[in-house]
Amino acid sequence: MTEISTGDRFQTLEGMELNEVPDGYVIYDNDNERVHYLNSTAAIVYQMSDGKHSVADIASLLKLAFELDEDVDVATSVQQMLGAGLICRVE
Amino acid sequence: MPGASLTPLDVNVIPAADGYSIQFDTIETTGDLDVMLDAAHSIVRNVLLGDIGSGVLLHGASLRVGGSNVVLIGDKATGKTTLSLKALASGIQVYGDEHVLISGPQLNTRPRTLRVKEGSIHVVTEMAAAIQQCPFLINWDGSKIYSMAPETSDVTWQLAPYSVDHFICLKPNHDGSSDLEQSSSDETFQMAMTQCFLPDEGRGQSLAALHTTIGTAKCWNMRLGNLDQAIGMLQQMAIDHVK
Repeated sequence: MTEISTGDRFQTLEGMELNEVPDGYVIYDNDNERVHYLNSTAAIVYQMSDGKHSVADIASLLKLAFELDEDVDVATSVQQMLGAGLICRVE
Repeated sequence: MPGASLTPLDVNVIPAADGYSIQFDTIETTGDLDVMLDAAHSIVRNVLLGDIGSGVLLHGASLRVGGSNVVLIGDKATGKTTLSLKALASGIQVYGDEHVLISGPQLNTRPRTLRVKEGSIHVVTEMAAAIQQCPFLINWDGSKIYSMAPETSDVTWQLAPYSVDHFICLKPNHDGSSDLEQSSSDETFQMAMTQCFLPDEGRGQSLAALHTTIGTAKCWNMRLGNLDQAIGMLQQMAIDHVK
């Protein structure tokens, strides 16, 4: 499993057909003919994976947006999206 | 039954060394009769999908139970047609047993008669006489497949756009009992994805439409065994979960 640090940044991969649904995103991977559903939290993580925001940035935003007391586990979402081929690490 | 007029397709079928060759648009398919049937089915399916743009053709039966619209999805031989026949015999309106077109907030059932295998008649004895009066074709094994419009003296076959209140994923439990339990929209979406045909273009949009449609309905799993039990559960579900 890839190690994720709070300073790591990620970006979305091309070739994805992004469609907003009431509770998140349905993403179709044209090259691999795979479909992914992201709930609203995962959709924000995906959206903020723009190569500029770090994992810590995304976690802070989610904490603020959802008015949470505890830190959000962004690393797990990032791991899953990496595994699904939706995002890649920015070196 | 109201509907668009039919348009003949211009398809060339040519004898070839190893069977036949079908030519349609720029696509050519060559092979034996099974390959030809698959190719012909594919042509019709693609024309149909072309008509609905970015929609989804979902393999499923559709019924109207006590004022609620219900879509049954499941693999082949899980009992969609059998349950539809039993529903019809119980006075429930059946739209179809094969395909539902999802291209927006409202769905349409593809107008097609129920295909009833000769071997299935014994499980709906109350419909046997009516089924045996229907036109039929002979299957590869010599058995009959009847083509039955879902109508009885009490139930008229009517097709109109509708919204879905319930999605039910069927799993076979032949010779056992039936049960019904609530499911999640995620699980139902996963099941539906295995039972749908997507257009070549805009698949993401089509799947989003499917996801949204499922997300607005109640989702269930039904293990289908005893048909009387299953019909009772459908009727109770429609009473208990009116939108």
